[in-house]
Amino acid sequence: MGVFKMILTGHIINKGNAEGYAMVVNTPFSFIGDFDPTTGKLLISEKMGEDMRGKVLVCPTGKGGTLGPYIAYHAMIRGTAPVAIVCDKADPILALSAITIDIPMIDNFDKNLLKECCTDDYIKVNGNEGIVEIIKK
Amino acid sequence: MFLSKDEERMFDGEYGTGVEKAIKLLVKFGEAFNAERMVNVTSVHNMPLEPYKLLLEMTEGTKPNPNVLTTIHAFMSAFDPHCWKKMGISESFAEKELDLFNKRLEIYKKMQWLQIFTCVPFLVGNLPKKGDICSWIGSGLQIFCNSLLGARTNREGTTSTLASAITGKTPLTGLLETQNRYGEILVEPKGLDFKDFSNEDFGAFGYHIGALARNRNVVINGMPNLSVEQCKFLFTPQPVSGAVGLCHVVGVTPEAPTVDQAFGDNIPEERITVDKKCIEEAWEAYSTARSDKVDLVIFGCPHCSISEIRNIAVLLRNKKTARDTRLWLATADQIKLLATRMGYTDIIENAGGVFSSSCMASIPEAPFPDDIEVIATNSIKAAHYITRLTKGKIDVLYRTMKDCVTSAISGKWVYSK
Repeated sequence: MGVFKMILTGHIINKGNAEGYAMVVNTPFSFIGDFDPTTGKLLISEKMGEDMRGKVLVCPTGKGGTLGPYIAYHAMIRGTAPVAIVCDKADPILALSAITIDIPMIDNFDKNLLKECCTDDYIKVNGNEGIVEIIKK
Repeated sequence: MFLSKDEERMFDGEYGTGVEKAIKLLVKFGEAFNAERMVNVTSVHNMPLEPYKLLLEMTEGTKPNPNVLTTIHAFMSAFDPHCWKKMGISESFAEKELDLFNKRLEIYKKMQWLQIFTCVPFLVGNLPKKGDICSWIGSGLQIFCNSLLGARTNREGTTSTLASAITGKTPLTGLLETQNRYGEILVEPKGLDFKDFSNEDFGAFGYHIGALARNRNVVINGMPNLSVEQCKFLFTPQPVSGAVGLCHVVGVTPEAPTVDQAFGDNIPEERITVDKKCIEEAWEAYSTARSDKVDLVIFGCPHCSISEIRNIAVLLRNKKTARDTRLWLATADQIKLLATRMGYTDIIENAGGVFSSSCMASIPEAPFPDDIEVIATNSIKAAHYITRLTKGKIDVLYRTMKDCVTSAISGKWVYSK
């Protein structure tokens, strides 16, 4: 069984290093409404009940809910937050969520992120250099 | 990112660890969106749901900032510490909230953040003028600030407005810059008779176009001369179904005397026509419920103006709400004082209504009493969020103010639309 690796380069939103399995959400994401900070579970229909704790959130962009950064903070305190965020295009609320809990976040990649990355791929996020390594099994 | 001498001192911790933490958050936020420098804010509006540890850290050793007027948003989760019992909210929920609430109040007082507890700060003392730089929380407020006042705020999150209240700074980016404030899509009403339009028809209009506009700046051409209330109904739903931060209404809002001025150098990337069918479809989204009764009627999302309260009081004079039907009306305490002087409070409370200054969309925790299954409201934003936050436990009906009052009295829902 071979291991396939791919490198994507993007624009740094927040620095830091983290790695984990990918949680791919195909619609714009909001910490308010799409996520339960008490359990770490997703509340969106395509991924209802799946656990985001310790994962790398992969999504097209953020949306709505200006309360998002506080929800993300509660999740961090409870240990239910994702460890990094990578997306096509950051919106201010999602960016502030990552900055507030100080997890690495990168956007605007040189390749099509959502096409290249699947849930359960292993992802290494180098937020200091804006590089993401996707490891497929 | 370029920092002034004073901003550098903040960054280096010379004003204490709270200011240092706040400016560092704003610098990261600014750099993420390629801001070249900071600007001073004169008006901040904050959400009273701060994680206490974060609030303590950011205000540690921090002095009140005399250059910034900071106000506090409505109580969240529909939980008003002064009337939750009358609203029927559970003791267990209240216990969890009250301790934290009192601890936060001490900090608001120390920081001289004005405890207006409302989502209509512009009606009670936080009224920026055209061109003023603001940092406001609340998606409905952000679009109102940018569009009707012509003041400038980005789509901030809770931590950036908090950091701006402490530092008096915000990164110069997005909707703060003139070139980013021009229209991107053109909306044109077709065959609509605005003489017959209720406030709630304007709400349906806003809900329809928000979904199509997504996060783009909207220009509406062909509206009559709208009142402040009509603007509130038109703007509020746009960042609910979408993420709109700015909606110019030609001939009404200050940056849109003409279509050409509203678009500046931009060419409309999309033209959207809104006809009667579009409005009806928006109404249809929240038009039916599991039974014919109404357990709760909600007014005040966003909080009611004095005109709205007067109109509701006129309809409720000498009437009583049905025995098993609750009526909540949300407004700012300052507006309620005026309503009391005018006799409106007595009329509404004698009918069985409860005044609150909490968030009627119930964001984020929606702690409705267990006996509530069907809600009628004249806010499409409240209908949208309550439906989602209660995950199917509660059906919400979108109705005109008159239909809502009729339902409160009879206990049954009506649909005269």
